[in-house]
Amino acid sequence: MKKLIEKGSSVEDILERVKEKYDLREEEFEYNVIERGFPGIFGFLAKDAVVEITLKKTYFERRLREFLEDILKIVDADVRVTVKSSGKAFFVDIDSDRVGRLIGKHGKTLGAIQHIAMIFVNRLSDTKLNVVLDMGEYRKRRRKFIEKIVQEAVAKALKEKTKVVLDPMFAFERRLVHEMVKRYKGVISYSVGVEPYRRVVIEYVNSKREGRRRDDLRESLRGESQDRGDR
Amino acid sequence: MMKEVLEKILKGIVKHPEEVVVMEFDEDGKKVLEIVVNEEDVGQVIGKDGRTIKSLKILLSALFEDTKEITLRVVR
Repeated sequence: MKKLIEKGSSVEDILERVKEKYDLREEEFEYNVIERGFPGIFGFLAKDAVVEITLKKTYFERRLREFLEDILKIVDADVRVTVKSSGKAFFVDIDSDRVGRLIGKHGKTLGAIQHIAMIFVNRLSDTKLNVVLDMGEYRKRRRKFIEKIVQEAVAKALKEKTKVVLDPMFAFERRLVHEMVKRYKGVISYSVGVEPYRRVVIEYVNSKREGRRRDDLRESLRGESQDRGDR
Repeated sequence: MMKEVLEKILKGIVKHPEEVVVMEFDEDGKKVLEIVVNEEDVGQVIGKDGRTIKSLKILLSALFEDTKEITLRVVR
């Protein structure tokens, strides 16, 4: 996730400096000595040491946890933040008695915290990392709810050979809908309208048609790229 | 208080944390927070379609429930 090449008078010097600069702990990095370095004799023949340092994922996990705890403790001094990562995805779970307030209306605050957390980890890393944040299983419950809406809408679209326009949703929820609709045959989905009223349409199509989206709808294509950019 | 918290968050998301300055004051009975960051970080703080500055506002409003209206301004 992050590699540093550092120069200094000695390997120990470099490690001390980097640990301080990045707030790095002993077990959170690995290093490779590229050049031992030589202090020189009376100022002659001196040679810099060069070290390659790799920051481990535990470093990113801890920094993100501390960053969020530090902010959220204003609302709840006992807030518990857990961060796990798998590959480039970081999963954050926030547990607090004040979880309702931290989720916000329609998950608005949860989305905001996730967005800020995402910028925070990516600021620390060279490669693009993703953050998924949940609180009190809010996302899980929301997913179940959306699944139900999609099932009903798909059933209606198929039965009446029509299109069903869903209520406005957040980008990450619309994305969920598109993913779910893909599993059904005979329907396609696309988004219409402008934020914050953008909504998903689930439409019946002749079974011969392939693909889940109408390519003749410029509107929907525009929406697709917009949905992809959001998280 | 709000100023310190916003500074803390901003320092976590910008390239030049040492240049983050926040000024907090009241204007027409509303809470205003003015943000100064390095030129290079202005875009980051505002975000695509203002998404980041909006997220900051939403988060601050949740953290400080008692403050009715918060305005965030990025000053150049």
